[in-house]
Amino acid sequence: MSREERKRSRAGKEAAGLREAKRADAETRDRVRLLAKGPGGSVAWIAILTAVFEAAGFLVALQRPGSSPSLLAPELCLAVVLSGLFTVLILPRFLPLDPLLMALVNFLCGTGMVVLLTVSCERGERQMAFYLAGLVFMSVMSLAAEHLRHPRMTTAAAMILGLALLGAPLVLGEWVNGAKNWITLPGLGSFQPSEFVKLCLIFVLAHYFSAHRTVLQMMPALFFAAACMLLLMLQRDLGTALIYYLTTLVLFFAASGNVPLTVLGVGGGMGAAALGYRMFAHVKVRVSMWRNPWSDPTGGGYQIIQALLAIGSGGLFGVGLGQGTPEKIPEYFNDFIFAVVCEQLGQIFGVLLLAAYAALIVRGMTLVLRARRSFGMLLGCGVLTTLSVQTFMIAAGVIKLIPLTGVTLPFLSYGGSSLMACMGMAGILHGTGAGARQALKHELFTADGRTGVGA
Amino acid sequence: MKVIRRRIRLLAALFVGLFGLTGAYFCYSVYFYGGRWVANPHNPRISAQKKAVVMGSVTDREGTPLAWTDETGQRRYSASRDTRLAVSQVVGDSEGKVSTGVDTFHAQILLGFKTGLMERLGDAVLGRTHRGDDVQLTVSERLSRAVSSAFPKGKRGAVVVMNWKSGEILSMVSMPQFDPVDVDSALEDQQAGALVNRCTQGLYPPGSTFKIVTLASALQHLPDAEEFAFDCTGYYPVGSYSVTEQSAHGLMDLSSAFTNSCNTAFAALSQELGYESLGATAEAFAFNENFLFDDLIIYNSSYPIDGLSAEDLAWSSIGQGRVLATPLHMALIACAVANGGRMPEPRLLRQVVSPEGRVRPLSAGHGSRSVMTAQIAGRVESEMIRVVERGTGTRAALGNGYVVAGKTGTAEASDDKNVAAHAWFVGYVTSGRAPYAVAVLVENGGSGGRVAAPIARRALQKAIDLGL
Repeated sequence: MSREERKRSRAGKEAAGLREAKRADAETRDRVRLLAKGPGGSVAWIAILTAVFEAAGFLVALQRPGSSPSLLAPELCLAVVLSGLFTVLILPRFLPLDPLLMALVNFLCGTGMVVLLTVSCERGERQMAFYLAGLVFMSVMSLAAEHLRHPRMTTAAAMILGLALLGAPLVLGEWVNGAKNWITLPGLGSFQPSEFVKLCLIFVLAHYFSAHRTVLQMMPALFFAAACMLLLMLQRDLGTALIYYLTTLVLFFAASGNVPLTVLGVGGGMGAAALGYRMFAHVKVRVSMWRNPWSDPTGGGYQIIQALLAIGSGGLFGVGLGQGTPEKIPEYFNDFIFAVVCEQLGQIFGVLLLAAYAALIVRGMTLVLRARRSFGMLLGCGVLTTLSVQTFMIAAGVIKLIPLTGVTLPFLSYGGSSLMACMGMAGILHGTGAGARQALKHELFTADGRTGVGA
Repeated sequence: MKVIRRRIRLLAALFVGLFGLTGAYFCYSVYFYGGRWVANPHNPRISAQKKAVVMGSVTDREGTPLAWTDETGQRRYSASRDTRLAVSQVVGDSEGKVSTGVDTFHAQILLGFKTGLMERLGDAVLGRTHRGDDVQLTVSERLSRAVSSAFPKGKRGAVVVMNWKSGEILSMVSMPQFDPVDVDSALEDQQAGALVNRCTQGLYPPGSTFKIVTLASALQHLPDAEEFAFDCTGYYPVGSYSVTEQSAHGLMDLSSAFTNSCNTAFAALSQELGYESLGATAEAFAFNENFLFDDLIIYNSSYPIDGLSAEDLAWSSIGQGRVLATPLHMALIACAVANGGRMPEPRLLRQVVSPEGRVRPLSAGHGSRSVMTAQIAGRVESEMIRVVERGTGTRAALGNGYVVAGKTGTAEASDDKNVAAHAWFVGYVTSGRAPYAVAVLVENGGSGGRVAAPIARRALQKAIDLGL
C-alpha cells in the first residue's frame, strides 16, 4: 500500500471506530434512560401544561351560562386533573408506564374532555368517568402486555370472545344511523363491541404471525380476521371493517415481509372497495359528497359542509371555548369532534393536535422497538397501525381529504367503548416498551457485574 | 427480529407521513378556502353573529353610505331608490340570498370576525357593544346610477367599469336590478334573475370580442402574422360547416380583418394557429382558470381544449361554440391590453376601518399577471383604436382628446334566427390620466356596434366627468 492509501485506511478505521464508540455510547445512554423510572424534565412540562389547560377549560365549561353540571362535576374535574399529573409524574415508578406516552395520551384525552364538557355537561362528565376507568384499564393492559407468557391458550379464547362480541349487535342491537353496531347495556349505556374486538384481533394476529412462518400456518388468524370483517359488513360498519383489514395487512407485512402477497392484499382491498361502492348505496353518496358536497347542501352534504364551515369560522385561534355553534354539525361530539375543536380552539390548535398524534405514534414506535420478542413487537405494531389508520381516516375525512367513514377519533371522541379501547391500546404500548426493562436489568447487572457496552 | 424492526420503522414513517399529509392539506384548504367557508350562506354562525354584533356599514368610494345597521339592529339601505337599485347586486341583501353581495361575502369583516383578541377583550371589559368593521368599496354610486339609466329599458345584461391600472372596480351594474328593501318581489320573479350578478356570474359567448385573444395568439405564435392575407367572400368552409359573414369584405389583412370583425378571416386564421396555440393563449388569458380572488367571487370562463374538430376551432376563434366568459373577465382582458399585457386582480374593497377608526390592512391579493408581451399588447391596442376610429365601434368614440380602444361583439345566442344576438362592447380609454376600462353586454340586444358601444361611451364619459 502506498503512503496515501495507508493514511486513508487508517483514517477510515478511526472513523469507523469513532462511529462504533458513538453508537455504543448512545446505546448505553438509552439503556440507562430505560432504567431510570421518573419522567424527564420536558415530559413533566407537558403534563403540567396539560393540567393547567384542563383546569382552565373545566372552569370555563362549568361557569358557562347554560351549562347544567351535576353535583359530581367539580369532583370529577379535580380527579381528572390530578390523575393526569399522577399518571405521568408518579405512577411510572410503580407500573410499567412510559411517561412521555402517558403525557401525550393525557393531552389528547384532556382536549376531548374539555371540549365535550363545554358543549354538553352530561357528555363531558360521562367522558371523564370513562377516562378514569380507562386509566385503570390501561394500567391492567400494560401489566398484561409486559408479563404475558402463554399466548397460545389465550389466543383461542380471544378468537371465540371476539366473534361472540361482534355477533352480539346483530342479535341484540338495533339499526342506528344506518349501522347496527351498538348494543345497550343496562346501566352503562351503549356499548360498541367492535372497538374492543380490535384488541382481540391484534392479539390473535400478533400471536399467529410471530409464532409461525408459512402462510398456511397463519390461516386460522386470517380466517378470524375475515370472519370479523364479514360480521362488520353485515352490521354496515364499513369504516371499522376497513380498519380491521388494513391492520391485518400491515401486520402481515411487518411479520413476513412478503411484498408480493402484501401488494396482492392491497389490490384485493381496492377491489373490495370498488365492489362496496357498487353494492352499497350510501358508499356512493359518501364519495359524491366528498367530491362536491355543495351540490346537496341540505341533504347528504350537510354534515361535511357544516364541519368545514365550523373549521373556517374558527379562524386561527378559534372563537373561544363555549362559543360557536358546534351543535349544527351532526355527530359533532364523536366523529366530528375535530371540527368542534378547530372552531372553538382554533386551526393552529388543530394542527397541534395532529402533531400530538404523530408524536404519539413516534413514541409508540420507540417503545415497540424495545420489545424482546417478535410477539411483543407485532402486538405493539398492530396497535400503532390501528391508531394511525383510524386517526387518519376520520381527521382526513372531516377536512374532506378523503370520503367520510363512520369511525371515531381516538382519545377525543365521546364514547366509552372507543375511549376505553384506545386507552387499552395505549396500555399495550406501555407494556411492550417496559417488558424490556426486566431483561435489561438482568443483562446489565448480572453478567460479571459490569455495566456498559455488551459484546 | 432486526428485519421486523426495520419494517416497523418504515411503517411508523409512513404513518407520520400520513399525518403530515393531513396537516398540510388542512393548512392549504383553510388558507385558500377558509374565508369562503365562513361566507357561505349555509353558515348559521353568520346569522347568529348578527344578533350579537352590530354589522359594520358599507360605503361607496366617495363615502356615500350604501348599507348600515341602525339602533334596532335592522339593516338599512340608501334612501334613494335609484342608488339602491344601481348597487343592488354589489351590496347584496341582508339575508344571504345574494351570496356574492358584499353584505354576505364579506360578512367576516362586517361582523368583526377579524377583530383581534385584544380588541374583543377590550369590548368585553368595557361593556361596549361589539361592532364589526366598516367597509368602503371601490364602486362609485354616481357612476352606477348613470350607467343604469344609460342601459336600454327592459333589456337584461351587465356593465363593468374598472380602473385598468389598479384593477379597482368602479361600477358593476347587472340588469335587471332589485330593491334590497323588498327582496321578496325579486324572489317571486325567479325567471328574471334579478338577484344574480351578471357581471361576475353570467357566462355568455363573447362573440367577436374574443378576437382580441385570437389576435394576440396569432401575433405570438405565427411568425408571418403580419403578412396574413385573406379574401373574404362571405363564407368560409370548415369541415362540414361554413363560417359565414353578413357581407363579403373582400381582400383583408390582419388589421382590416380585426377592424371590420371579419369572421371568415379569423376562422381561416384559426386553422393556421391550431388548437394548441390558441388554447394556450386562451388559458394564458385566464380561461379555464379557477379564479380565487380575495374580494369577490367570479365564475370561471371556459375555452374548450379537448375534442376540438376543425369547425369547433373555427367557431371558438370567433368567440362562439363552447367559449363562455363573464363580462368582468372581458373587462379584465381589456385591462390587460391597456396595461402592457398585465391583467390586474379585480379589487372591490377600497378600505376597511375598525369601529375605533383604525384602518385595517387589506389583503395583499395576487397582484397582476402577464398574459401577453407588452409588444403584442401595443399592437393589439393600435388595432382596437382603429376599431373605434373607423371600424365597427365608432359609436364608442369619445372626442375631447380622449382616445378609446375597443372591440365590438355580436354573439349568436341561439340557433333560432328569431332570437337576437348578444351585444358586446369591450374597451378602454387609452389615456393614463383616465384609465377606465369597460365591458358592456346586452342580452339579445342585437348588434354590438349599434347597441353596446353607445352605452360604453356614456359610461366612460361619466367616469371621466366624475374624475374617479
